[in-house]
Amino acid sequence: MENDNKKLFFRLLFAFLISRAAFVIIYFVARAIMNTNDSFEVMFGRWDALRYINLAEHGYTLPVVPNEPQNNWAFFPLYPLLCMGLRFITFGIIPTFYIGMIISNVCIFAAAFLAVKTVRMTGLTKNERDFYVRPNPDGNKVTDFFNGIFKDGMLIAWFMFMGPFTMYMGTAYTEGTYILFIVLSFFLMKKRRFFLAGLAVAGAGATRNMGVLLVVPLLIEMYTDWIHTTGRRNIFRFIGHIFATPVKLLSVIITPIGTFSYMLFLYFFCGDALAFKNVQIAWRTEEHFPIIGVLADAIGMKSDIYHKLLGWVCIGAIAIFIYMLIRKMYSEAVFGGLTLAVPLTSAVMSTPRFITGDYVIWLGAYDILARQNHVGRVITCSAFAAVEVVLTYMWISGNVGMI
Amino acid sequence: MKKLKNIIIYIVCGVLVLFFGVVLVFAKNPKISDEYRLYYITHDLKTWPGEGNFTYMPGTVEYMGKPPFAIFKRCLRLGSGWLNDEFVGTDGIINSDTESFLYYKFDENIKNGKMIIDVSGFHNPNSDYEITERDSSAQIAHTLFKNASYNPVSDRKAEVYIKEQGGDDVYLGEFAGVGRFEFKLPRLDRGKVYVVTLKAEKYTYRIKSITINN
Repeated sequence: MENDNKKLFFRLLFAFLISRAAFVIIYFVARAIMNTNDSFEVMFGRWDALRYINLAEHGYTLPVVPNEPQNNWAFFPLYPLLCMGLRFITFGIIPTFYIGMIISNVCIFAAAFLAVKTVRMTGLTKNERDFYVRPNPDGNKVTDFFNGIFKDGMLIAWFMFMGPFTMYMGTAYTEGTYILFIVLSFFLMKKRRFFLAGLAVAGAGATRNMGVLLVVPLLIEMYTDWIHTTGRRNIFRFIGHIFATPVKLLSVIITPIGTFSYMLFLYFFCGDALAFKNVQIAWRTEEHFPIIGVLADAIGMKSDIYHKLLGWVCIGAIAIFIYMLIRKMYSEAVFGGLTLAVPLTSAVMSTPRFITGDYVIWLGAYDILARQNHVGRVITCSAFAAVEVVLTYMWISGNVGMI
Repeated sequence: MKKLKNIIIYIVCGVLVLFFGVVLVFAKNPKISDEYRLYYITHDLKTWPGEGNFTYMPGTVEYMGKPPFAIFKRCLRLGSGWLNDEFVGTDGIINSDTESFLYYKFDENIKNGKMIIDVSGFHNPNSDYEITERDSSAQIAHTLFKNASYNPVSDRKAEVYIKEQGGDDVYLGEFAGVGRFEFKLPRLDRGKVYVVTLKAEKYTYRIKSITINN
């Protein structure tokens, strides 16, 4: 087991370094094309990253400025707190942006490690069609290393490092930390360690406002576990079982503690415990019929190409979640659907970031691709990587569509 | 021992539920300013005036469009019914609907107040054209104002009303062209939120500034 973990660690490190080297190369290419001398921090630290850096340095502020209604209260505190903590430990020597990058990259690496472990633990790797392997009669370690670089769940790690819209997980955004808590909670749920999973959900809830929705997959996993152990299916009996099992009850009740703690802070800070939700009006000003109306408007005739693209990405994600339901990945599919439904109550803006940042879409993509033949996998993965290169360039060059 | 552990866990659950309940009570009863409530919660205000900047001081000239100089005050108490900022210049702001709203709160009682509206444009739009919900601001600005045909029909007008928020409209008067128009105000109490409504069926106007004197 220890040997397996060590092999996994080094294979992940290889994939991680490849992906980060790609970011650096794209940075230099972008600089050359744009004919600019902007630093790495300027080009990778954009939009919300600046808010997180500001939060890590100055904390939350009151909205006294007339022309700046987009307050930093919409941003949950755990990631800025982690940045503050690392700044403190390093005596402020490292610039805050790089502090944020270190935390994001450590988190996404750990998340990828756990994601591969989860995929192996749940048996999804059994669906993998044969990967190409180089003959290795002598048991050469290097050959063995590269033979396993895409197999046995490694694909999901490659997606998380280099899939479309994953540049957010490498910069000073919450995505890396958030995904770590999501993956950790699913990992613990699958191991039936429900109390620890509840704590991970609490961590997700303190990182992003929708993290608390992980309580739904937690309940689904508890229910399926109860069905397996008792043979019963009655929901009311299950609820009774939860109340009769104090540890499981605590596992569920503890999940929103991160969110409610932030709400309590906001009440004393600005008088509005729901400020994180109410200030969203500053970003989302469109008014549509929730979800269906938003999607219809996005892909409709009057919509521009950008909104059309976002709309079709959302529809594609919904199709994958439906596929995951059919494949009996109930808890993951429901979480993906819920976390997409919430932003679709107002607009399609930023939905690709939310979709990829919620982790479960990569599980669905992994399951689909693992069943394809070698050529199909190579083409799809190459396409993913190419799209990510373009998206990263767009991000670095300050394209507003990447917000 | 297991029984004691279970009791402790149930107590912890109870404490957590109590904590969540207290926070929900706080969430239901926020302690916020009028401007915060109007902008972030009820969404009546479409522009954010800044915390503490909503109260109106009588005598202040507030420019509805971009002020000619930075020291002049811009009106940031707009509700719905006005064109988006991208179509606003220094000559004022155009209505985008048949009803347009402004929100006020005063730092003193207004007893013999007057509202002075400086109207910098007034047009009767092309009679074939009706403002619909799906019209973009660009369409409204272009079609209603730039291409409008001046039609001096006698019944053209924009009516002005005021009310305490939640109350009934009080008619103040009307304007029917370009110029400075004065409207006598009823008594307005300090600290209350008032809504000024401008109503114009199928007409568009451009307002440069509004001043309220006591």
